[in-house]
Amino acid sequence: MMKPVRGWTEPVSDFNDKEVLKLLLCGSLFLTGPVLMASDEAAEILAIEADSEYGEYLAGECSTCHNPNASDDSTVPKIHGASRESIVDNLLAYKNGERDNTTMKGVAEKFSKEEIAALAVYLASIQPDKT
Amino acid sequence: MKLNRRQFNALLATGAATAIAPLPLMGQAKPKVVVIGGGAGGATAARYLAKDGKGEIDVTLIENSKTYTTCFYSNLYFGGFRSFESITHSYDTLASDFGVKVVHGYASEIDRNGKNVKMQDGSSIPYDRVVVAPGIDLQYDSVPGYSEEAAELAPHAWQAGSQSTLLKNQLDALTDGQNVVMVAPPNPYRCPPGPYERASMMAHLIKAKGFKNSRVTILDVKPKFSKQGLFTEGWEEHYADIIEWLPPEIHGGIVSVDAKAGLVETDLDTFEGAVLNVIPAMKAGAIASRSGLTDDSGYCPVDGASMRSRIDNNVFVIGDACVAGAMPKSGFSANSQAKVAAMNVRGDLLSSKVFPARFANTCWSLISTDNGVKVGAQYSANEKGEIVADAKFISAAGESAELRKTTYEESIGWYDSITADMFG
Repeated sequence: MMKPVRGWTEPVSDFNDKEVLKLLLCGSLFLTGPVLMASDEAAEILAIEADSEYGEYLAGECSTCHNPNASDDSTVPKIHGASRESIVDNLLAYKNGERDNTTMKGVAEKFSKEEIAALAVYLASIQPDKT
Repeated sequence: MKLNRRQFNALLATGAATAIAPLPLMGQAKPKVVVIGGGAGGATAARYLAKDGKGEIDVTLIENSKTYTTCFYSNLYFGGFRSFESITHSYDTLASDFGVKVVHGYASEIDRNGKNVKMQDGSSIPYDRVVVAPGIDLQYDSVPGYSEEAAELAPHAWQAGSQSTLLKNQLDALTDGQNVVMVAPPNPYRCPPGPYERASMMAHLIKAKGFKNSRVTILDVKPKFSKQGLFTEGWEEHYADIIEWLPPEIHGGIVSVDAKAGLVETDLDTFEGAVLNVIPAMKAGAIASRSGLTDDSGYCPVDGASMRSRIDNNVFVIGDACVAGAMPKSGFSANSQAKVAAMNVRGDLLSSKVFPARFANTCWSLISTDNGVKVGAQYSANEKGEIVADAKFISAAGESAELRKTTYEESIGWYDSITADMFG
């Protein structure tokens, strides 16, 4: 059970200054929170020292649908050779439910931050040709 | 690094042994892997072993056929959405670009004590590790009256190639008022949604020809089937007067098939079809049981953490022939399992890193033009080595036409990618 929080039932006029400040901070965090959190999460992942060899193994799963040598008009986008930032952003978007392809949601939900980092490092290192 | 005396001596001994080893012995140092079967499992395993082995593994792929027609997407050939050529692939790139030795011949048995694969022509191919990917064999006698000979009249078309062209030619020759009768297989079998996608494609063809009096009757031996809600919805919308699905509680059981007369007798009634598509029960490809790799189920038990046979440590079994827990028998599954097996084979032979097994599968089905649906999941191995599903998804009933089109288009991209992943 959550402890009752002061302020839920009491008029704001009863709050002391410290409490008002806290509430204001919470409000501003609530408004800007999701944006901040998404980019924070991406930054955190990009800062991870990633294992490219692990990324190579994980990327094996991607190649079943994402052809490293796909043409630009392929119905499944090319991800080999994409930037680390774009791979991290897109995987997070699926993981966080901002993009809704059910296949990719299932794939992304299973990845840990370390795994996303490893994948991004490996995929970004690929020069699409014969892999 | 600081060595103690014991380690130093061991190192010295290794060095000395290498120095005095006769040259031919040193030449044999390259480990040998033989892959049996060049489908979604075998071709992928061979390619990943060669690619990731970086020339340090001698990879041989044994496949009877010179070209490979994928069973997946062959239903779209029946519906007129793909040509036969577009689903047929060559092994040339595996040989030329990846250095895989492709041997076209029939592997009859694995001599597991002698560690070599016996070929039908009397030759044998030695291995350090063997990857077994023979796919399925059909149990013709599971349907009374059906046989390999009868399949030349009433095709199963569940192994793609000449059987596919036979069925396609029969479908194309159909005239208005003539019917198609399909006998659907019992579980477990290759491609769970396959029979129902096929019925959809047959009905699409009948509708496209403008026929008013032809039917597709599915005589199922199962009370329910994969993606049933989605297929039923699609059939009601597009093929209400064409497709009829009869479960065993209605037809009462298949009594016999007469391929010559085009008749399927059930407890309820006798069904007549100008085209009979009889899909019998299945089991692992013959070499698996001949080599003692199967259990009572007719399939090969494996440790899902590695795809290693539970019967022989030097053997890996992937694809339709293995018991893969929650994973369905599909080309996608086989391709996914192949990568786990290849990594573990490299770990065995080159001491390369082995990561925890992870698998994926998606089965797309086309119901009508631009109306694609899918079902899939992510998988991993539990502590008992069983493959379990972690995250599942399935298309929803009543989805928008736009989403269904996107799903179908996604399957086209997948087809191009998985075949590139298999054949290079």
